[in-house]
Amino acid sequence: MNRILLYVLLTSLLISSQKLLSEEFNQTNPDNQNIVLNSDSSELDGKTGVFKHCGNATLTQPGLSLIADCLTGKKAPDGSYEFIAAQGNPARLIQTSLVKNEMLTVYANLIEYQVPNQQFNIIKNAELKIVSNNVDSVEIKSNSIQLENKVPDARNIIASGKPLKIEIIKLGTTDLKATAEKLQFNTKTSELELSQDVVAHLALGQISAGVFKYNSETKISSFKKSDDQQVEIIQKKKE
Amino acid sequence: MNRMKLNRWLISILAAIMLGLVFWPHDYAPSNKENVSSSEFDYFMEEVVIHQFNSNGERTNKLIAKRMEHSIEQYTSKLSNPVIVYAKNDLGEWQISSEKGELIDGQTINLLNQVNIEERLTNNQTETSINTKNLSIDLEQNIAFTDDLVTIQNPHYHSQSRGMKIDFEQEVIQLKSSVKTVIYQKKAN
Repeated sequence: MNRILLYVLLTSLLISSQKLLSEEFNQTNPDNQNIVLNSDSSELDGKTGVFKHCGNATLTQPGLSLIADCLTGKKAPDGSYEFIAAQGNPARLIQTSLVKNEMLTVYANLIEYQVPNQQFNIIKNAELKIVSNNVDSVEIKSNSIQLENKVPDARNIIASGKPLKIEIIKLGTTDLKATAEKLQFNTKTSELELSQDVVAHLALGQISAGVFKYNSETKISSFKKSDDQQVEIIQKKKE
Repeated sequence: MNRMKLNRWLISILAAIMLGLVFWPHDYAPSNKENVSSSEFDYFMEEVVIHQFNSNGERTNKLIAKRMEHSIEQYTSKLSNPVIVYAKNDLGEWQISSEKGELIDGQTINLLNQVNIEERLTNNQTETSINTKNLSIDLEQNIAFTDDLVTIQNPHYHSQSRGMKIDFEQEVIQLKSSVKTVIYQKKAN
């Protein structure tokens, strides 16, 4: 009788410990990309699949936080979540990469998050800042920024609109200040391409061009004219 | 002589017992205590099904209860194991059940002691399961309310909140305060 009791006790102990271990695994599993939403209230429309979380709404995922007045989204036909929009005055996105010691902060009135490919559409009063190692930074201000973010260490940033401003700071000092109507920047290669009505402020002077390419790592830059924009350099003599 | 007296006494006692048995007022107590009729309710029903229809003649909900005891004084009916079913336009149904309940004026139903709301698909599989302690349902508006802790389980997410409102016609779930939702997401390859 005692043996049977001991067997039952040991079996239940084994099962419960395995369950606890599996729960622990689920919490620390790097493949676990669960999205956690917190808010004061929420509404889910079962017919349309549209959901709304409002009032101090936050979205957290490993390495990612979205803070907004309201988070709205839509369920895909298979029941999964593909799209979440953060609205605020402003809404805020924070992404951290411990591997690269990098922090990305975005402020905008609307931040649309495409969940499966980790892509963000940042709309209206958009400000994006990437700070690396606390000394280097890239700051982009525009009305529309697209952040392709599938690999956090190799982000692709596409911005458009007027005014569009970029400032690159290296080791605490301004490396480049420019305005344009279109921008493309890759955080891994540090390659920047500005086009349409480009005005760049460099050590050389103020340069206007149709297309401007610049690499903040290699310091190699190139200027090209466009149909309606010559390459012009304005230099001010130092007194 | 003594024997005669004893017999008379015995006969008298037996006669008194028999008269007592015949004329004593009876309580026809049934063996099953659950079926005891008391002054608290004027009628009861067992295995009852109530169908409610809207003005277009469409059935809006169905109430099933193991037992319903009606009280004329309080205009309420006490329900045992009530189940309310809302059809979802040929896409399954909502099934709301609890241990106890009370039907007030035929308009409001209060479900008590662990309420379970299940969204069932046409193949009878449970898609969404909602649990709370108590729930009030407005049977005219087909809207349910609670201020208690609510948990929602679904294959794609789970939610927790304090307080909830469900519109069964519009299929809208509102969570009132301290909402936490976890959306299950696998890392994209």
